[in-house]
Amino acid sequence: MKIVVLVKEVPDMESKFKIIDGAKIDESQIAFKMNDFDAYAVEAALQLKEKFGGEVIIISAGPDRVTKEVRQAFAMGADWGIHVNDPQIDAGDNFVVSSALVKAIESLGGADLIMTGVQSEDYQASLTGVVIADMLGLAHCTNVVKIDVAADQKTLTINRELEGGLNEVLEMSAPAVLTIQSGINEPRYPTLPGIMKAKKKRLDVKKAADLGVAELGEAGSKTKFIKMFFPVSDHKAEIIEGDAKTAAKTLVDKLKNEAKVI
Amino acid sequence: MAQRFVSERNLKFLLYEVFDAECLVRYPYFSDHSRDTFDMVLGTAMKLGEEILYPAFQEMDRKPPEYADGAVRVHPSVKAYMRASGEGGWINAMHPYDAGGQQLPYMVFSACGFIFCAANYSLSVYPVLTAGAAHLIETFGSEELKRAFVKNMHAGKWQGTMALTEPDAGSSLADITTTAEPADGYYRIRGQKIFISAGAHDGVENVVHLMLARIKGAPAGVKGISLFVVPQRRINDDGMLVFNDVTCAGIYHKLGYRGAPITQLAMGDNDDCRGFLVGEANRGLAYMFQMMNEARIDVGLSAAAIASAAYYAALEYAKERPQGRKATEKDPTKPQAPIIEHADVKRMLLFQRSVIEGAFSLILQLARYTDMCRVTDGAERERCELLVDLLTPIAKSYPAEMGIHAVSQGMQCLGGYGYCDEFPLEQYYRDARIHPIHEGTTGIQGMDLLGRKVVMKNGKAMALYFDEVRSTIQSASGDDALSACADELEAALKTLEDVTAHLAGIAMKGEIELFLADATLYLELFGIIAIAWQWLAQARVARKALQGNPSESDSNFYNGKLAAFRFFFAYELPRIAGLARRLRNSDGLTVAMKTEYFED
Repeated sequence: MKIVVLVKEVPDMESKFKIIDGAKIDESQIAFKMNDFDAYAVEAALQLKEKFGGEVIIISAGPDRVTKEVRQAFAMGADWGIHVNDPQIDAGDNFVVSSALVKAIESLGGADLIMTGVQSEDYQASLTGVVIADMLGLAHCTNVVKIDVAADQKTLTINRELEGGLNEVLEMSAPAVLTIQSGINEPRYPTLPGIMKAKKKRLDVKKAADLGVAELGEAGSKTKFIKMFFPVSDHKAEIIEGDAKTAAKTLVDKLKNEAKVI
Repeated sequence: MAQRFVSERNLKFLLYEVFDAECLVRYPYFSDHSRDTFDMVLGTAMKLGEEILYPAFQEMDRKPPEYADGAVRVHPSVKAYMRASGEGGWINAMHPYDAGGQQLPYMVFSACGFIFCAANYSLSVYPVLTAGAAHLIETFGSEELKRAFVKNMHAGKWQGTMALTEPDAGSSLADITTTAEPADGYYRIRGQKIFISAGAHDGVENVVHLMLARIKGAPAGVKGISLFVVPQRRINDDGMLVFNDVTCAGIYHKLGYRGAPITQLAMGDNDDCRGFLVGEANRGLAYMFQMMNEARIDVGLSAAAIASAAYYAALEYAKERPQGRKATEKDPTKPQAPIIEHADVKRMLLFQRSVIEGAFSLILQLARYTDMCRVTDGAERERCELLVDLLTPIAKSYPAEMGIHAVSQGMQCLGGYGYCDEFPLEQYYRDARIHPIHEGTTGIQGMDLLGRKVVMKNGKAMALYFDEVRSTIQSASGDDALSACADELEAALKTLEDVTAHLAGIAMKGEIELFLADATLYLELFGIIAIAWQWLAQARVARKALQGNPSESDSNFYNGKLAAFRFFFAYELPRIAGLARRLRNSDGLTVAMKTEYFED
């Protein structure tokens, strides 16, 4: 099977986030890693490759540092990849990035399966998989927690997770796009031999022009970014310190003069 | 927030900024590597630490190995981790490609080892012991032995151990009594061993002991000791594993480090224990010392790593625990301050950092020399080998001894909670205590340093060491912010030279007992100066980085480094004055002390 896995780099959520000019995260202060949901997708693809043979191709969009996550997938066992590296694409919204990823997939002559995480840990839009399926005119299934591929390598039986602890089972045909839910498997750890091989695996770097992507940056986006901010809670709590008598006096004073409720 | 046990930022600072690990890739042996592969290896080690090792840290302590009917049942994580270590290529990571390894530099592997030990010391030891034992077979064993044992050990299927200690021969290996009688293609082994780490357990299919024994008729003392491979189960003619008459007679119940069984072994109860000679007869102790020296550096690394985990637990608590107010705040209605704002808590945290980061820096310094041994030859190789030899007792003992004090100060930050098992500090304290004891006690290390290492090759190693430290002093002298500390380190070196000359004078007079009486204090003095050297080297890099307009988080990191550096020079280095005073006084107080005076 020819399986494409779309991998995104996200900030490590343990990082200290700082917003610059209300517009973007200060990237100098944070560490990056592979989106956890995408790691499950890589593992699912590798398991299918082990069963049916074929190849696993990683596609990722982002700046130079993204190669680290692609090579991480290589170290797990993926075969080769495409790095879509163009600031004009990065400056666009999900539609622009998805358009570029679609062009990269088309440059491969398509694939039997396209997988990605159900969402990214940072933006949590859950859009990439479904937008790409729509652009490619393929069937898709989200929240996938189990994949069975029949011997014909075309018939897919998919379990998807629903709210309330439910699953539903669907049948569909490849080629298709699947967005993978966490817990579907246990992503393998890269091995040291895998890490050494990863360095030598093929990684094609593509610009927007190489892929023929026309929709770029803000102009090509379907949405307009306005601002980014840390929400301020409207609810305030205050712990009144001191012995019981002093604290009670302070509380009455605050209820009378600040909250004006008594 | 996930429990933090190491600073990845600090590991990378030491690896790349202080010790320039990337420079190794210029040598053909390491040329397949790059910063990217090093980072990926470190990243994978962090994942293993966070996802396999740390989750079992507390449970392995609460549910220690169980012994029943000669079998030892260990925590299920042992099997999982041994498998992950074998399949991941960690057990033979530093080996050449043609031996199945990945030619990983020792520096990078040490950083990974630091992560594993900090995450869960008990669990981390299983593959480390296996790697050391397999390395002995590979280095000195016959091709037949290598074929029979090494592959399964590297795969994490078979455990390796180091079987030296006996009931009446611990530090004094010259007195071991386990015997080996020549038979048809093997030796019949009879005897007992105690304190054998991971000597029997159900996390693996087999246990392979690298065991010291005396061939019948061998000379007395250390010159009659040979090294044998003694498997718990041997391979019969049909290729099946069968009982090799090695019985686990019991396990010890320990203060800490409780996730790894320390076993008592009986060999030859049925007169059917077969051992296989490694290398030449009567050369066993020399062979074993290859493994022992590696193991001693590993002990230092582990001690610093446990202290690191304790530090981050204490730091997290200190940031979150409000208690008391600043001394200048007189209003009791004002909120309490987090305890990290109190100067005495800052002192305790700085002490921990200064010990941990200084000690780990020394470990990496030795790892760097070891890596250079692999890629150089002639005089440069000899220089690096001598420096590793000289500094091994320091790299073992300074973190082992001071790591306990560091963890203790971490516990102190938590007050009463630190003493309770709701927080991990009490476990770190118990886990840390083994390190001055195993792989050669601190007393043995002191005698090794003063009685052997300092004087070897007519003091050549010492001269090389002084050159190394003075090179760092010289490079720091031009920086106004560092020059005073550079001068202090130069004065400390002169103190060390003076004390060494004084003690050598006693040795020259043939008063050997007096010469070695305070070797432990000499080791301590030497260790403090070695750590000061490492701090000056780190401070130089931090100062330079701060001049390059770093980001806010980097700026905080480098300023933190400088604070820990200044702390070490202000609070720790002055301790050498008292030690030097005692070492210069050769009144023989302890030598003269009579046993009967200890009665009441």
